[in-house]
Amino acid sequence: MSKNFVNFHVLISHSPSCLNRDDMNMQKSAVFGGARRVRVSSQSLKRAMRTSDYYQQYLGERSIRTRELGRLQGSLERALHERFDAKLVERTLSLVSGKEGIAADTRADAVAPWSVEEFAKLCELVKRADAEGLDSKKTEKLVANEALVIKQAMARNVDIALSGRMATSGLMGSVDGAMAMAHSITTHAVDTDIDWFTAVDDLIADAGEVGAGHLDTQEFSSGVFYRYASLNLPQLQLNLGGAGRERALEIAAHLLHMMATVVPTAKQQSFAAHNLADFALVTLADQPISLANAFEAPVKAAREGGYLAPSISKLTEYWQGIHQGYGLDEYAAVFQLREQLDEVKTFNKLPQLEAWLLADGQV
Amino acid sequence: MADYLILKLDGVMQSWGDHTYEDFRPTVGFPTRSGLVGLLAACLGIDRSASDELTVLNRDLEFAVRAEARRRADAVGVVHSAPVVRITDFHTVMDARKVDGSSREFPVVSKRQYLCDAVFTVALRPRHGSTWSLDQIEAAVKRPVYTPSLGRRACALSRPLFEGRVEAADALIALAQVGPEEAIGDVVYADADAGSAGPILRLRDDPIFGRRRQFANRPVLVLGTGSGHVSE
Repeated sequence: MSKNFVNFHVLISHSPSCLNRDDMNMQKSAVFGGARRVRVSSQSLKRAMRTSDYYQQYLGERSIRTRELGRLQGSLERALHERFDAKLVERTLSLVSGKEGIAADTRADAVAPWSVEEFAKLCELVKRADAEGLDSKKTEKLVANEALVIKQAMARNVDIALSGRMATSGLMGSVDGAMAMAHSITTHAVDTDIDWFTAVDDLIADAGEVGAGHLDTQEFSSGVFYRYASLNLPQLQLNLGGAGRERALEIAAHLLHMMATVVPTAKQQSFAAHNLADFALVTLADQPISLANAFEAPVKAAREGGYLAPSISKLTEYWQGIHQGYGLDEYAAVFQLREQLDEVKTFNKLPQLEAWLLADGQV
Repeated sequence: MADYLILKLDGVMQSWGDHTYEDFRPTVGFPTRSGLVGLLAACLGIDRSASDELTVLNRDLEFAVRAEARRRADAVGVVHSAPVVRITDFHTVMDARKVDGSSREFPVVSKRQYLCDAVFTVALRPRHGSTWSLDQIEAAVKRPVYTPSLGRRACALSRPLFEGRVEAADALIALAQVGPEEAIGDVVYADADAGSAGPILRLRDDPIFGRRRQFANRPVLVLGTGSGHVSE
């Protein structure tokens, strides 16, 4: 029986870095099992993936996320000027956003992702409604009836199908995201370091005087992060306007690649923690279950140092336990840089695990 | 005697939305009625826009929630519990693209609260004349249609929701049959018609399904001998 969910479990070790900060410029953290962990938020990971080169190359154009309707109108007019006149774009935007008379500084109630192709489809529908002399109630009905066609147009922007969209007003349709990305946390407790840094002012130094041009501090740490996401395949198919399971699996394989390779860009000019994942476990399952509890007791470094190897053992052991303990019926496979695991299909090359997922776990 | 379905809500982070103002999004200390109904609706595959079905589901179910701390036995068998910690996530949204060649001056900021190290056990039963049976709900939590999560999409489940089925005279007795043993005295927040008497908390978390997010008041019984409850 084909499974509804893909679970992605990834372990990625980062050298000293500060990948996600709060309003105090401190690292984001969470408490788990009574111990402080460093955290990279769900939204930060999703944005890093959405804006990655890999995404652009394999998943295409991403949505425009904005609440600046005035600016959006300008960019939609430019993008669609060969297909629709500016007046129609303006009228459609007003209907879709539920805001009358969009001026340069008009803002929507919230940031929402916009799809140019979806918008073009809506322009066509508004044009048709105008030609038939429909009032706004009937226009709304016409748009509601064409929901599938609109979704298919939006399928060009996979990020909306993955992350969803909350429409607050007007004709814009809400989308329930098919992907659920957890905040990623370190598998072990972390005491962060503080980097005390100064900027040398060349001209002060040249004059033989003492003192720096600037003093500040920056919190940072290293750690092994557990990344978890689930993907609801039937939901994704629905969000893409009735795409086949093959297409959903293709996107799942790309998502796996990004889960294993994409790192947020924050402070990377000064830390360069450009690390790739050492370990990925993928399951096709009935339920979206995170394996974070493998690390509820914070992982202790191995005797010779190092959190990665004990984290990998803890994760695989825990998966065995929960898999048997709850009698979960799932297909599983692992990408691991080094060893082979006896109990579960193991690949030493990431593309091999991607291919396994693409084949619905039936290789 | 009644049949109860027992669920466990366990995850690294949970967030059960309370009233928001000025982009501050706090969490209640335990799952809200609207959160639980939403969770089950997701498992059952009821669409967000299906107000009538959601209204029926909400009307048909009676909940009792036990708020537990995360507990772990150490090497010598002594059980330690980690206190529940509230953290606030500083969440920014920037324009993903420079729309006209320049970017928005300031990001949109919201602060979102999460519970860390929280575990909840839920006992639920259909009210008299319910359209939904426990068997249907049990099947749905074992093979959910939409993605279940712990209040927010980013709050993943750390274990399957389904814990078991229990026969008991009321919800409190049902929960007393569900381990871990140390949690049996923990505070229970129950619908006021769940049978026992106790102090009443008024919570505005009973969803009114329709076009806008609106909630009605609900009387909640605070039961159990635990010291975990912090009164308003």
